[in-house]
Amino acid sequence: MNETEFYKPVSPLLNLDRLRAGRVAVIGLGSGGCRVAAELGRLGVALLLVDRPGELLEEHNIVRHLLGYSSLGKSKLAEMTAHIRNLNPAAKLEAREFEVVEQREDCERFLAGWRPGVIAVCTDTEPSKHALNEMALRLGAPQTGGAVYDGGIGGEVYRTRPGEACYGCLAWRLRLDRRQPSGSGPRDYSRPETPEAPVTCALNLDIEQIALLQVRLTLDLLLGPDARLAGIPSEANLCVFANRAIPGVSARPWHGEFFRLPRRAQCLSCGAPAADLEARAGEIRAALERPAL
Amino acid sequence: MKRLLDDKRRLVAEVRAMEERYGGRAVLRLEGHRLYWEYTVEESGRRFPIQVHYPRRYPLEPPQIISVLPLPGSPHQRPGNELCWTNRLGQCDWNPARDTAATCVHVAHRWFACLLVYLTLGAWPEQADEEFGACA
Repeated sequence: MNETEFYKPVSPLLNLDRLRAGRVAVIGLGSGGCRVAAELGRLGVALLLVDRPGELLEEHNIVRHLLGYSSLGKSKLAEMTAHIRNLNPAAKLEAREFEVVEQREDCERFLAGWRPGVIAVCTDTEPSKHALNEMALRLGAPQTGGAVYDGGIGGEVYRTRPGEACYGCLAWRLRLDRRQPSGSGPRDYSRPETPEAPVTCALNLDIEQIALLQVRLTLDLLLGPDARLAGIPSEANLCVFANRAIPGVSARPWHGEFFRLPRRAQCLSCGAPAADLEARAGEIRAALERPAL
Repeated sequence: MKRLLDDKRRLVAEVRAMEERYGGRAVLRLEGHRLYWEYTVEESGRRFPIQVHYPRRYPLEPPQIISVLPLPGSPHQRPGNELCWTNRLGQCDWNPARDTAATCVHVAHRWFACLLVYLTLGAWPEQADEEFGACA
């Protein structure tokens, strides 16, 4: 690999030394996470790839994933590592399997040792996003994340930085139920076994659009605002992007709205702990040990 | 429930939130590994004793609300007299950075008010029907 030749088209745009010194943990290698990982890895950012144990590429993944039929039935983690290495053989990659909710202590311990400059949250459940938020807060690591709205009509990307609003503060303002398909008529109580459809319905191009915005935010955090890869107001921490016109949100398609959501003083994740924490916790535990009347 | 008992910050926040909203009417209990609140919902002259249990993955997952008395059949309940109030598939509005077990007591008041409507009219109030979600 001739690195000078490889980076020639992008070197005027990026501080390559800073880029290659960057370290990003990409958590989740689904249809969004695979794009985030591939774009960062292609540029030479050191990556820690994390996915659930035993996560294999299934046929229904392929229509929206970077990996194709040659990876069918194989580990997404191993196949994505090989894919990125093919894009940039000099990429520094490490791969680990963690279920970030069940194994959150182990995952946090590993992240603490790996010391990411940014945690790219690419998981698709709220418990996992909050678990990673707690880890990022304790490690003092910035985060980026994103979500695609049902139907692929658009999505949101966010970033958090130490001392500013955390994901818990942002989620306070996000109406998470909007990602659910709306009900189609009265509930049928006689068929309580009817399953819900938890998978977000969206096209590959809908997801890729949002994932690439997350990459921009991640690079912005890694390289600093002078890199101007995001070109958004420095105080903005949330962008809602319309892939198509969104009734009630965005009359214009292909359009982003930027928000600065404030930190919540009463946030149970990033807010200040009670001044009498030790004493109060001791009282509560002592009361629990007393026999009930 | 060791995680919550070891997490002083969260434990204190839980107790403080409950005390602020419900005073001494809610009592925290530890039975073996089970940590839960005891509380009695009073709605339209009736009393519904409940327990609010902290699950293993708390606070990433919401608490379970269990009726101490057997529940009459209704569309928003799970086996074991558990009130159905969130979508367990993960995309619910539960926010561990904002919500505590005190949120569940508030929910339980609304749930039992809806139950009484259901028992009287045969239909769960429409808006609450959406709010409490699918209970499959």
